[in-house]
Amino acid sequence: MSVAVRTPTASLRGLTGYALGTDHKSVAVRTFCTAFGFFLAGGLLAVLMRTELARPGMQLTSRAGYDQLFTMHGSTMIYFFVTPVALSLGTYLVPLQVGAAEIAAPRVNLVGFWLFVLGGLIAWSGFLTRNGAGAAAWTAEFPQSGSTGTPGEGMDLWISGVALGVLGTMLLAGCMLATIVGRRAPGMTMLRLPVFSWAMLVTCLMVVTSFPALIVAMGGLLLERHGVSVYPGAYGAAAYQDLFWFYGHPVVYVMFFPFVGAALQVIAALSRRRLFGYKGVALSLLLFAALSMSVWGHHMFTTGQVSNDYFSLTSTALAVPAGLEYVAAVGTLIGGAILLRTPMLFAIGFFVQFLLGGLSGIYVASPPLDYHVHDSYVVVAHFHYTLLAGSVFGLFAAVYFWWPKVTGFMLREGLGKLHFWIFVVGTNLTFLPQFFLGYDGMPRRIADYSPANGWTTLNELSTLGSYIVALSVVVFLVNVAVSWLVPREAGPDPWEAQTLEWATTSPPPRYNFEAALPAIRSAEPLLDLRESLAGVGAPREEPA
Amino acid sequence: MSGRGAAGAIALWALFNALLAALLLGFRNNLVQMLSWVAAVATLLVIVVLALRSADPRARRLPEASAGALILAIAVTLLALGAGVGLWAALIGAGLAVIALVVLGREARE
Repeated sequence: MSVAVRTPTASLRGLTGYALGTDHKSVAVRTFCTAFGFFLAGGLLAVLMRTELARPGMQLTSRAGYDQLFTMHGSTMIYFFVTPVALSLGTYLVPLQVGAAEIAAPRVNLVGFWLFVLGGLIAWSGFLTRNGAGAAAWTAEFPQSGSTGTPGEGMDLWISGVALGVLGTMLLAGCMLATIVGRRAPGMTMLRLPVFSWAMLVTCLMVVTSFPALIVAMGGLLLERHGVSVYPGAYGAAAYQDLFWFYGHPVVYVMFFPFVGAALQVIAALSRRRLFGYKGVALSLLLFAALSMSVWGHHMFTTGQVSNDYFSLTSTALAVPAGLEYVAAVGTLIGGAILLRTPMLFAIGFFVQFLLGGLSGIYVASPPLDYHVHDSYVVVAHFHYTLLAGSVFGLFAAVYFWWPKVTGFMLREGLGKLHFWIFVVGTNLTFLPQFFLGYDGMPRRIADYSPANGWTTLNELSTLGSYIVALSVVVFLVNVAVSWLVPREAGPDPWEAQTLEWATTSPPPRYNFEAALPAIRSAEPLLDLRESLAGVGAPREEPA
Repeated sequence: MSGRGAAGAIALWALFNALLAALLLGFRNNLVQMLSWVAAVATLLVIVVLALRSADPRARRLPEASAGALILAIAVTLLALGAGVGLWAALIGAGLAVIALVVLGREARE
């Protein structure tokens, strides 16, 4: 591991520690907690939207208010929850998994955290302005997001907040990338990198190459709203969309890969097996990430401004590397000594739920079908199956799995399983009816509909589902509270897991490892150690 | 570990991206699309070069806390807000940015 000169200062605590502490674990926990706070806020907006849509007529808010609700819900979930929460997992775990004492450039990491926090607060502060918060959807497509389409300071604050938040997440990713590149412990070659760290590597590469496009797009939008012509005419609107979606589609995978890595790691550890096809998974992650950089134009099929042939080809091709991830998951489970603990349930749930989102993605990757369902509830159902019903399952798999490492105590199994099953029922009840609503022609982003449309029953079911999802989150919070108040100590390695983070105390000390690291001969050094202690076969040595 | 292995993986990813960008040349495309991709691949090549040159330092000073980082984040925030809420925010941000750089410089020397 890296040798670090230790500063004599004691661990920072309290407000000073929160504001100024540079320990990557502390920054990661702060990022996670802040992002989870945004999740609760964005979730509240979702419940309000679903309550409004449960029946025809306007019950809770105005049409303009509804525009703000869906804009802030989508923006909060994408810019200020899923992306930063995914990066927070990497910020905590990657230095530990590669055997580093610290993250590279810890001050930059801290700047990234604060830009994310301040960006989120600024975007939300739009609610305090005269015209309310940003109301041009999370995509802020121009000219709707211009000063005529969406007047007021709230939209300006939204643009600045989003740009800052994205810049912050770029800095977090840059530090993680530098850690993987230059801070790996001796023996930790790239083909011995744990699969979660591989997933974070491709995630960080996508962040640093695609996120700048959004900052450019937002800068142009801000100038355009203040009198500088940046996106003139029809070509200007398409140019904005090209820039936006060059960020906007890769970010979907930034919100996916970390959870694929986490779920695969959980499945391997709780199947008591090495990951099936490890090298294939690493290569497929690289291919998957490159392909996902090349599909942004499928969001623009109906604009007539992109090559539908090219973007349909690349979008459909995504099914190949995605299939390899599924082969790895199933191949690891087959023949494994499976422990159906809460993290495993969520990891399997992630792959099953995501399948619905992924398969519906193949349909909308076909231009003729996309023309039919574009801007309908089919699209809403599709991306919620990938993000909430998919990625958030992966997130909870990671949370239940690494919680003992971060806090030193276990979450309750009974409450965890209750959380899982309520979440399964809630997400499917919310989003499955939306496929049928979209097929029946219900457009997205509408605040009201006529009883004559015949959409009421499906909307009622979907709203009921959203309440059940909210209930599942309450169960999770109760689990956290109970486990915190009556802690059950976890010890360093409660799962008998495989990777280096489990070779240190729970929680880890300031510089991660106080004892010498075990020899690193594969992507599963702790499993190697256990096998050699048990005398199982010859020591495994992966090629460097 | 040296960054050579990581540089190889990143270079492979850059190659995948370059091939996909080149494939787009055979279809209808536009300047914004191609420029975005060229910028992305160029960024990757810079990262590859940096990775090839990187080596884990044997000893380095790790900061426990950084006030400069927080001040810099506030400065950047005010600079970004300047375009929307007024020049005053940008000016305060610029001033804070100078202070942040001074503080960060002192932190690095300590």
